[in-house]
Amino acid sequence: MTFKHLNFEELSDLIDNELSDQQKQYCLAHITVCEICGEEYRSLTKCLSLISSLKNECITIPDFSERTLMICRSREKKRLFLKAVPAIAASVIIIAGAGFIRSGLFNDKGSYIAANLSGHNETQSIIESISNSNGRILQITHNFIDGEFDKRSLTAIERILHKNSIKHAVIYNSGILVNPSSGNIKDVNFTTGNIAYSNQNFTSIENGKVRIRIFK
Amino acid sequence: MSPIDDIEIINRVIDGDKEAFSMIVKKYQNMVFKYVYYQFNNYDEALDITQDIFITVMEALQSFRQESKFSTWLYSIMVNYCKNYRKKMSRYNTVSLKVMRGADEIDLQLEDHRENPEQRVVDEDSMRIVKEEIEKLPEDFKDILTLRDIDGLSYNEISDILGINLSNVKVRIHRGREYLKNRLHARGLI
Repeated sequence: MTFKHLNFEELSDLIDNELSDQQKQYCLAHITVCEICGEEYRSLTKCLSLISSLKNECITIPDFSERTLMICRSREKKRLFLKAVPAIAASVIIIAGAGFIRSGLFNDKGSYIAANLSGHNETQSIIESISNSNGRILQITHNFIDGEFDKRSLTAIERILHKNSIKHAVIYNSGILVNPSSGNIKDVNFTTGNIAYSNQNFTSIENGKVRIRIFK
Repeated sequence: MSPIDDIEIINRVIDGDKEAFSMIVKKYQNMVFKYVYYQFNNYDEALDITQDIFITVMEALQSFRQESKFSTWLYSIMVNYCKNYRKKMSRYNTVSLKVMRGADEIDLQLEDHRENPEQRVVDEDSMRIVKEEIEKLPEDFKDILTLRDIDGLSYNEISDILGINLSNVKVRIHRGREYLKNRLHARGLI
C-alpha cells in the first residue's frame, strides 16, 4: 500500500461513485489504513450529509398553483389588450377618416378644404331652414337642390340666400320659374329642357306651398 | 408522476387547458422553493421568486421543445432566474433582515422519535449554520452544490441545466465541496 495521500477530487468522486472499480477499491483500502485520508473522508461525508439533510427540512409553503394561474390569466388579458391597441387605433383613424371624407372635410384629392366648409354649412343651413319651414327637400343633385315649403317662410329663406349670394330660382304653383334677382329665367341658366322637366313637377305644387331651386 | 405525464400535462396546457398547469406547480413547488430558499436564505423572498419562476415557466411553455426532461428545462429556468435576480439585487445596496420564515407560518408537526431534546436544538443550530454558509458560497458553487447535494441531480442533468460540460461540472463540485467543508470546519461543525 502506497502512502501517497488521496486528493480531494478522489475523495469527492469516491462518495459520488464516480470512480472506476479499481480506483474505488484502491481508495477504500487506502482510507482504512491512512488516518489523515480517513479523517478527510469522514469529514467530507459529514459535510455532505449536513447539506443533504436540508432536503428533508420541513418548510411549509403556500400552494402556488391558484395564484400562478390567476396572475397568468390577468397578464394574458393585459397582453391581448396591448396587442389590440394598434388595431383599435387604426380602426378609429379609418372610421374617422372615412367620416371626414364623406362629410367633405377632404376633397377627392385628399387635400384639406376648410375654406369650403362654410359653403357646406350654408347648404346645410338652407336645408335646415327648408325643413324647419314645414318643408321638404325634393332632390339634391350635383348642381342644385330642390325644396318645397310654406310660402310664409319664403322671405326668411330668401334672406339667407341673398345674404350669402346664393343663386336660386323660386317656382310658384302657377308653374312659372322666377329668378327673384332679375325676374328672368335665362339668368339662372335654365334650358328649355330643364323647364319642361320642371313643369312636370311644378303642376303638383300644393296650395300655400312654394318650390325653390338652389344652385350650388 | 413520470416524465411522460409531465409532457401530457404540458400538451394539455399548450392546447388551452391552462388549469392543468396547477398539477405541474403542485408537483414541483417544493423543489423550486427549496432551491430558491437555499440560494437566498430568506423565506419571503423565496416565496416571491418561486411565484415568479412558475409564471415565467407557464408563459414560456410554448418554447419548451420537449428535447429534454421537463424537470431539466424547469431547473434551467429556475437557475437562470436566480442568477439574474442576484445580479439585479447586487446593483442595489440592501440590508438583509434575515427573516428565516414567514411570521404566520405554521410548521407541520412531525412526531419526534429522538430521546434527547438537546440534540434537536443542536441539529437546528447546525442547519442554520449550514444554510448561512451555503448562502455565502460563491455563486458558481452555490448553484452546483444545491443541485447536486440537496436536490440530488446527476452530473449529466447538472451539465444540461447549467449548460456546461461534464468535466466542468466535476471541477466545480470538487471546489465547491472543498470550500464549504473548510467553512463548516471553521465554524466548528465538522
